[in-house]
Amino acid sequence: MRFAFTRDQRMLAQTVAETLAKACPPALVRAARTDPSVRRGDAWTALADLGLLGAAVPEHRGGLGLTPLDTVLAWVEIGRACVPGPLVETAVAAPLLLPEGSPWLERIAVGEAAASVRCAENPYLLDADIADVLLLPEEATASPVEAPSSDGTRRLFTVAGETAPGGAAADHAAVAVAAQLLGLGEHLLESAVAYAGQRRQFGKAIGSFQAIKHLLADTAVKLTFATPVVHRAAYSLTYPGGHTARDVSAAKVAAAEAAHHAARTALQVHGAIGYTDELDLHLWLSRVFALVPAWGDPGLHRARLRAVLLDAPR
Amino acid sequence: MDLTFTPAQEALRAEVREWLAANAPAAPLPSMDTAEGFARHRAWERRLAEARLSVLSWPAEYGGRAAGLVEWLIFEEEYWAAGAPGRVSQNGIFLLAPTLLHYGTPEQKARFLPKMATAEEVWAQAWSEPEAGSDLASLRATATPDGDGWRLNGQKTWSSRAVFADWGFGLFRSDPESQRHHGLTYYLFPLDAPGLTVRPIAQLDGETGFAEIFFDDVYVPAAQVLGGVGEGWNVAMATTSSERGLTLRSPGRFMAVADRLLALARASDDQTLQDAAIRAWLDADAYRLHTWAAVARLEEGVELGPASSLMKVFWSELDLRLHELALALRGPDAALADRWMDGFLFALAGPIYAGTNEIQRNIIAERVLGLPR
Repeated sequence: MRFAFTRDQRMLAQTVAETLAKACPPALVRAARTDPSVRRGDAWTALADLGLLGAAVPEHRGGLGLTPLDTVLAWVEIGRACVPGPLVETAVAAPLLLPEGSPWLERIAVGEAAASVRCAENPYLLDADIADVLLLPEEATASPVEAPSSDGTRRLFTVAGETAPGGAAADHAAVAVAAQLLGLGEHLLESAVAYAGQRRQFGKAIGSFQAIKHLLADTAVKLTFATPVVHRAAYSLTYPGGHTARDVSAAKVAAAEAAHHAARTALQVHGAIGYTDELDLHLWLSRVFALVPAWGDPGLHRARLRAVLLDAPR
Repeated sequence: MDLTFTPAQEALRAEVREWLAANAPAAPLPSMDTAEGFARHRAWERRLAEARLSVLSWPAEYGGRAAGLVEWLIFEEEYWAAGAPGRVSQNGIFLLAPTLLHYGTPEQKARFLPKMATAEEVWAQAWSEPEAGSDLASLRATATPDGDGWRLNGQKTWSSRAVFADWGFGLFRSDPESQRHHGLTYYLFPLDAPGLTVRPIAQLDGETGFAEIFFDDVYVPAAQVLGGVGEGWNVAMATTSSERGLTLRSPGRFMAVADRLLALARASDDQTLQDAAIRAWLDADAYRLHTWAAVARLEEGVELGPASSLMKVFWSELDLRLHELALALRGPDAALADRWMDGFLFALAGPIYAGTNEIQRNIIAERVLGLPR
């Protein structure tokens, strides 16, 4: 029993964090709302240069051949930086959905190709406008139609026809999204703590008031206890042992709840300034609200948990 | 990361499971907050100690097996899953013993630990005073030098089971000029000492688990000072850090309740309650996972520190939610005085004892997040 990451796994996450601090400033996230090329711009290139887009592609196809356990901490950092673009779809889902001999794998590994994915768990094609390959359950002839997206940095598209379950790809994508939600939540908590330490009312920093302290403490508790659940899901994907569905759904549910709580708290602590377009905060809020229903909405995961935890005694 | 157990750990699990199946009382013991129940629980502790299972993590010379934290967590999972009795010696073995092992002299350890392990001596804590609850540093009970020892005066309260216990431990102001956290000393004292009076306080469940303790010139020899004179606050904080952290409430306790809750949910057709029960079960599991991660950090030499306040808030509110959901699933039967109601009443105290959750949230905000005081 050793519930901890290796030095290499922690180093990769640290490298991703340092890289994104330069390559993905809030101005880039903001620009992704209006300029489609940004969603495959500097941040995309920086992650491709680290090999992260090919992390799940086997080594003999030009990737790094890493496991979910190797990359889950890196996905937390990608969430923290609010990186735009179809990253989970390209780097996590596509390598599991594409046939073994697909030439797309090499192109994904070097960052040349972006994928968009549609399946039962994820009915909207993300960023199909900038994707090179659309992965659908069957050959779709109709062209994607854009649907209004709540998060302006994410463009959503629909196509006609049925969807099929995404299987392992959907589970792997759900854990990468859960990890991003943790990172988003941690950034929101840090922003709110920093603001509460600066903003003064009644002659004091508002962070000295217990009403503010307790809100932020509650968010810290939620994030703290969602974190190991996401880590364990990455372990279960890496070493499948019969509880994968339970552990993946637990991770998505816990991370979504914690990130949503962080979003509500961060906005409340910032007050009216947090509700403006001027402050970057809303970019992180919108991403949380968009990722909560992505790759398995809470209802889907609740139903799965009912099936595994209630139908048969453990 | 490796979430599997070694063959030796699996063997320990099997040993504990088999021993409990053969020895744990079939029916729940009477409440340990009653005279009869206390005696029965004390006898149970003796049997545990005879199997060297009462204080697994202690050194062998004091009655333990020098087991690691993972082994202790395995023991706890099996213990609570078997429905074994609550630990009447918990204030001694979980609150005092870690401090005694760290700060105690060799003589103190040899004198007190073996009898604590067998429950020949059961300990009560004496932290709070009528005017010093959450604000513990405002305590006013005094210790005055007298020859080679000290004279204790003042009043302590909310001392769990002090009516039935043998020894007490607590903080007294040994420097009359001192303020707040300074000038306090940590004392150990027998509850039958001359000048010491214990008065029971009836609880909301009708039992006398609480007590107040009056000190009227109670003599304590210097050998019963734990840690340095005037160092009491730091010595005591080492205790509360372990209390709030790993050792007081192991995940096994909540997993056992969560498993029983899921059994109730399976028999229900109320999907709202089923979903809530599943969510609570997952939180018990999250607490277990967090504990394993904390053990890994401790093994790397990282101290738990104020992060233990995150754990205290989480487990105490989880415990309450598990029991509230169980009562909701029980429907009209929730009105019955039974195991679920007993558990619920006990869980209600969780957000209050060991530092209220409001105090814990202050600690999280100030010392974990770094917000201004």
